[in-house]
Amino acid sequence: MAAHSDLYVRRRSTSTLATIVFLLFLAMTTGGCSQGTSPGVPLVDSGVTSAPATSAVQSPRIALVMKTLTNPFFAEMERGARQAEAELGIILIVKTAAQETSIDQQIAIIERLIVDHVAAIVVAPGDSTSLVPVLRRAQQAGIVIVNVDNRLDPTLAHELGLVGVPFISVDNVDGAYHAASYLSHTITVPTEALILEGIPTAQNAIDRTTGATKAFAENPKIAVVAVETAHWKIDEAFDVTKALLKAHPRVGAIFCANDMMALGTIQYLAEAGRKDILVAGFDALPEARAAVKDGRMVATVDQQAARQGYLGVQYAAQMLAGTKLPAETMIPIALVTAAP
Amino acid sequence: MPKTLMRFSISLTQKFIIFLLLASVIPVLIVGVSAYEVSRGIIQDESKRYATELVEQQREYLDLHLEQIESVITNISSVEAIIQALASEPAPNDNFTRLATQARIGYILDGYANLSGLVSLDIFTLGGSHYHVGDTLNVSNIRTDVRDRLMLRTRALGPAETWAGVEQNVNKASNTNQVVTVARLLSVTDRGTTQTRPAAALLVNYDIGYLYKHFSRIDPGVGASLIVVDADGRIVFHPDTQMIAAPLNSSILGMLKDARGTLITTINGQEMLVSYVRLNKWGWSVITLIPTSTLTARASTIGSVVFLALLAAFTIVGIAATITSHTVVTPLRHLTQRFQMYQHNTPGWQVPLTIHGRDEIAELSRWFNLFSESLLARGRIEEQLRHQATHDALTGLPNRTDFSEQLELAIARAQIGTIPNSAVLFLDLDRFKIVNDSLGHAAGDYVLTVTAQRLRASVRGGDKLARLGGDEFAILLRGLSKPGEIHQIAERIKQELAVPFDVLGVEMTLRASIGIAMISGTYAHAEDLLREADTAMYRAKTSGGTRHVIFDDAMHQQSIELLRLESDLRHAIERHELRAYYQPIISLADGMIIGFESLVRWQNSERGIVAPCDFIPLAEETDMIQQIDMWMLRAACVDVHNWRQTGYPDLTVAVNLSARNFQNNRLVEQIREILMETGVPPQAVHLELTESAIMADMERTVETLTQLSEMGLHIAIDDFGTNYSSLAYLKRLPADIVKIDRSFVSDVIENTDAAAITSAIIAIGHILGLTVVAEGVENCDQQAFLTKYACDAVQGHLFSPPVPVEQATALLGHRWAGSTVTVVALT
Repeated sequence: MAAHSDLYVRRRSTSTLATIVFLLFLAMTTGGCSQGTSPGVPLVDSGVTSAPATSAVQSPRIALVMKTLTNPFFAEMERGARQAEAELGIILIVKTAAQETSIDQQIAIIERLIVDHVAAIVVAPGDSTSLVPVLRRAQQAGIVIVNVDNRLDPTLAHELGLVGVPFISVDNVDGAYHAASYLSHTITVPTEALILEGIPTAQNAIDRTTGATKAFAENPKIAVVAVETAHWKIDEAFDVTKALLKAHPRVGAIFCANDMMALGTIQYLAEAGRKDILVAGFDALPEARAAVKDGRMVATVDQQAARQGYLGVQYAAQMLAGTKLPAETMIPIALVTAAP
Repeated sequence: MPKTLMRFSISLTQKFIIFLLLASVIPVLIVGVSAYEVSRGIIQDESKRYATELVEQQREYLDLHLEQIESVITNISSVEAIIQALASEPAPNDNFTRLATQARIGYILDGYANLSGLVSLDIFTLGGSHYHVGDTLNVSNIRTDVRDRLMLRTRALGPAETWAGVEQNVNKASNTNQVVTVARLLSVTDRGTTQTRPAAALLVNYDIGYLYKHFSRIDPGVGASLIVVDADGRIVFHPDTQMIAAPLNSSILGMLKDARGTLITTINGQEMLVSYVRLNKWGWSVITLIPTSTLTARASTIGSVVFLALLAAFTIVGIAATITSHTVVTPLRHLTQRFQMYQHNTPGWQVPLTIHGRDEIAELSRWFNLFSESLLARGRIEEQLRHQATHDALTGLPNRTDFSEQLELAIARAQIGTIPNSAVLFLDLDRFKIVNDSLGHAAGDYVLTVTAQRLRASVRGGDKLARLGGDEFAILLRGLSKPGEIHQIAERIKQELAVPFDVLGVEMTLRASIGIAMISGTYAHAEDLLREADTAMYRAKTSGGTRHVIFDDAMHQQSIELLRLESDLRHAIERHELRAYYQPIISLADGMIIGFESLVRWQNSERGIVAPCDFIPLAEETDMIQQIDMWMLRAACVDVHNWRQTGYPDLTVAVNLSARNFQNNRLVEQIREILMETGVPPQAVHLELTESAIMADMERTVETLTQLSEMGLHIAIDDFGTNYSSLAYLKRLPADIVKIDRSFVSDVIENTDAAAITSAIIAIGHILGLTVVAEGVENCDQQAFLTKYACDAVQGHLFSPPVPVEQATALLGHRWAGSTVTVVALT
C-alpha cells in the first residue's frame, strides 16, 4: 500500500505541475496577441522600387547669373555651364534677369542667392559698378565669386574690398576692332558710319565701342556720325536704326556691339529696302551666322559663350576646392565672315 | 484508491491554484483588457481626428497654393500683349519676329516669375513656338512627349479651366525633373471674325521639391505618412522622394471615392488607418496612412503592463502554491497516507508525524500524533483483553474458547480436505485432585504450570496447545505424516511429564491420561471432537491411567449407545420403567428379616431389565441420579409402610443416596416431605452412603446428614473398607450402621487379611456403637465367620437376591437358621 500511495502522491505532483504550465501557456497566448498578416495592396501600382535615396555628399551649388532671358548668347553660355555641371558633379542654378537693363533684378537675384547660401556665383554683370556691393556681401557670406563676360569695375571692386574674383572674358576691344576693321576694309569711298553700343555703363559695351571707333578711325574714308545705344536689345536696335537712318540717310556702315542689335538693324534695313548698308555684329549667334552667310551681315565675332560659361563654373568649382586661379583669363576670339 | 475517483478529483494544490488564479488573474485580465480596449479606442479616435484635421489643413494649404499659381496663370492669360503676340505666328525664317516676340513675352512672363517655387513658365503655341521663362535659357532641349501630352490635355480643358498635376519637366535642361504643372489653354479672338480660337498652352511648372519641403515638415505622427496624389492618382508628395510621380495603387485610389473619409485597409502587409480629403477643384487628394500597429503600440504599454502583472500574478501563484503544497498539502497527504496505512494496518502508521511550525496544520498533525498514541494504547489494551479472553492466566496457554476456535478452523479445513491427518489430543493429569487437596492450591497451580511447560516442550512447532480448564489440556496436532506419529507424540508427552520434580519438598512424578481423536470432515463442531477425545481419555483413565487411547469406532458406538441410554433413562421415571427391588437384611441373632435394602431396577421395553451397574454410573454423571434416588425413596417408603401395616411394624428399608444429592439444598426438605406423604416414621428409613459420596464434600455432607439424623433417620456407611476407611470421620459422622463391603466378605474364608479386616471392622463398629451389616454373603462359611465375630446382620444371595416387592413380601415371616438356610439356598 505504501508503494501505491507514493505513486499516487507523485502523480498528483506531476498533474499540479502540468496545471501550472498550462495556465502559463494560456497567459502567454492571451498576453501576446497574434497579428493577422494579409499582404494587402502595395502603395503604388508600377514597380517603383523605393531604392535608398542617393543622398550622397551634398554637391556644391553654383549659381550662374546672367543678364537676359532672350539673348541666345546666354543660352549658349548656359550650355557650356551645363557641360561643366555634368562633368564636375556640381549643381548648377541658372538665374537670369529679364532684360539687359534689369540691373536691379540681377541685384535681387544675388541677394536671393546669398540667402539661399549657394557655394559660388558665376556672374555676368549687366552693369560693371552696380553689382559690386552686393557681390561683396556675397563674398563676405563665404560665397565664391567668378566674373564672366562683362568685367566688374576693378577700381570700385578694390575700393569695396571685392578681391580675388577671377575674370573670364574675351578682349572686347580687340574683338570689336577686328569686326569693325573687316567692315571698313572694303570701304574705299567716303562713307558715314554708325555705332550701336551696349549699355553704356557696362565695361564690355565701352570696350567694344572703343575697338570699333579705333578701327573706323584707321580708315580715312569713314566718318562715324552717331554712336547710340540700343541696350543690347533686338527691337530697340530696330527702332534706333530706323531713327538714326532718318537723321543720317547716307550711312553706309553700321557696327552693332552685339548680334541681337545687329539682327534688329538688318531687320529694319530689309524692311526699308536698304541693301547698301554694311552691318557687323558681335557674338556669332546662329541667326547672325545665317545673316553673314546670306550677305545681310558682313561679320560677327565668336567670343565662345559656351566656353566662358564652362570655364566660369569650372573656376568656381576649383576655387571651392582651394585652387589658386589667374585673376584674368582671356578667351580667344574668332571673326566670322562670309568669305573664307 | 478507486481509479475513477482519482481521475475526477482535484487536488488541494490545484484547487488553490485555480482559486488564486481566479482571484488574481481574472481581475487583472478584465481591468487590463478593458483599459487596453478603451485606450486603444481613444487613441484610434484621436488619431482619426488628428489625421482628419491634418489632411484638412493640408488640403487648405494646397488649395491656397494652387489658387496662387492659378492666379498667376489668370494674370498672364489676361495680358493683352501676350495674346497679341500669340495671335500671329511668325514665319519660319523670321528670326527677328521670333526673337523679338520671345523677348517681349519673356519680359512679361518674367514679371510673374518671382513666385517662390516656380521653376518655369512656358507657352507652347499651336504653331510650334515655345516661349519660356525659368531656371534655364535652353529651350531647344525639351521633352516632346511631355509637351504633346500636356498640349492635348490643355486643349481638352474648357475656357478658364485649369488643370494641375505632377509631370516631368518639359524642359530637359532644367535641374528640376519633377514638377507640378499647372496648365491652361490660351485663346485669341480674331479682330475681324471675332471668333475665338485656341492659340497656346500656358504651363506653370512648379517645383515639386518646394511642396516636398512644406509637407516633409508636417508631422503626421509616429510611423504615419502623409501622401498627396493628383487627379490622375500620381503621387505628388510622399516622404520617400523615390515614390513621387509614381501612380498610387488603383485599388487604393478606388477607395478614395468620397470627398473625405476614413477607412482601414492593408497596404504592403501593414494594416493602415487611411484618412483622406479631396481637393474638389483639382481632384487631388491628401492622404494620411497610420499603421494601426502604432495605434495599438501605444496602447500596448497597457498590454505589456497587464502581461507583466499576469506574469507576476502567476509567479505569486506559483510560489504560493509551492508554499501551500509544502506547508499544507504535503502534511495533509502524509496524514492521509497515515490513515490509509492505519486502515490497511500497514506497519509504520503509528510513527509520529514531524511537526513544523505552529499553524492549524501543525495542530492537526499534533492531534493526529496524540490520536495515534491513544489508538495505540487502546490497541494494546484490546490486545491484552483479547489475550485474556483467549488465554489462561495461570499458564499463559490459549484457553478453551481459543482452542475451540482453532479446532473449528481445523474442522473446516478438514471438510474442504486441505489439511489431512490432524488430531486433537486430550490430556488429563492423574490424581491431580489429591495433590490439590493434600498440598494445597498453590502447589496445584505450580504443578499445572510445570505441566504446561513440559507440554510446550513436547509439542511440535505447528501444534496448538491449550489449557481447557482444571487439569485438562488439549493439543491440536496438525499435519501428522504417518499413522504412528501420533503414538510417538503421545509417548513423548508421557516421558516428558514423567521427569520427577519437586513440589514443596515432595518429589513428584506427573502422569496423565491421554485421549486422542483424529479430525475428519464428519465432525460438525469442535465440541463433538473434544468430547470424543475426552471419552478416549476417560477410557485411558478408567484403564488405569498413564496411557493414551485413540478414540475408535467401537468407542464411538459405545458413546452413541451411552447417549441413547442416557436419553432412554431420562424418560424412565415418567414412563414408569423403574422398579424397586428388595434384598432382605437378616439378623444373625435370630435369622429373621429385620429390613430390606431397596435396589433400583430399570424395566425397559427394549432392553428388558437393565442392571444398575449399566446405568447408575451414567445417572450419577448427570442430575438424573437425584430423581432416581428420590423416586426410590418414595417407592421404598410406600412399600415399607405397607409392610409395617401388615404385621411387621419394626421392618426398616435402606435407600441408597448418591453423593450428588448433597448438592441439592432442598434434600432434607424433600426427604421430610416424602416421609410425611407416605406416613413412614423416620426411624424406618436407613440412608446408605458410600465413603466416596461422603468424601466429595465432607463438611456439607456431614451437616446434611446430621440434620437427617436428628430427624430420626438412620445413616448407613455403605461399602465400608474399600476407600479411606478412616476411623476419624467414621467417628465424626452421625452414622448408625456400617456395611462391610462385599469384597471383604467374599474373601473372608480364603484370605486372612480380609478376615482380619472384616473382624476388625465389626469390632470397631461395635466399639463405636454402630450396627454392622455384612453384604454379599454367599455361603454358610461366611455366615458362620460373621456369626462367630458377632456381626449384627447380613444380606446376600445366600438368603435372597434382590427381588420385586411381591416376592419380598412373601419372604416376610421366613426364619433363616443354620442348615435350613443352606437347604433353602440350594433349592
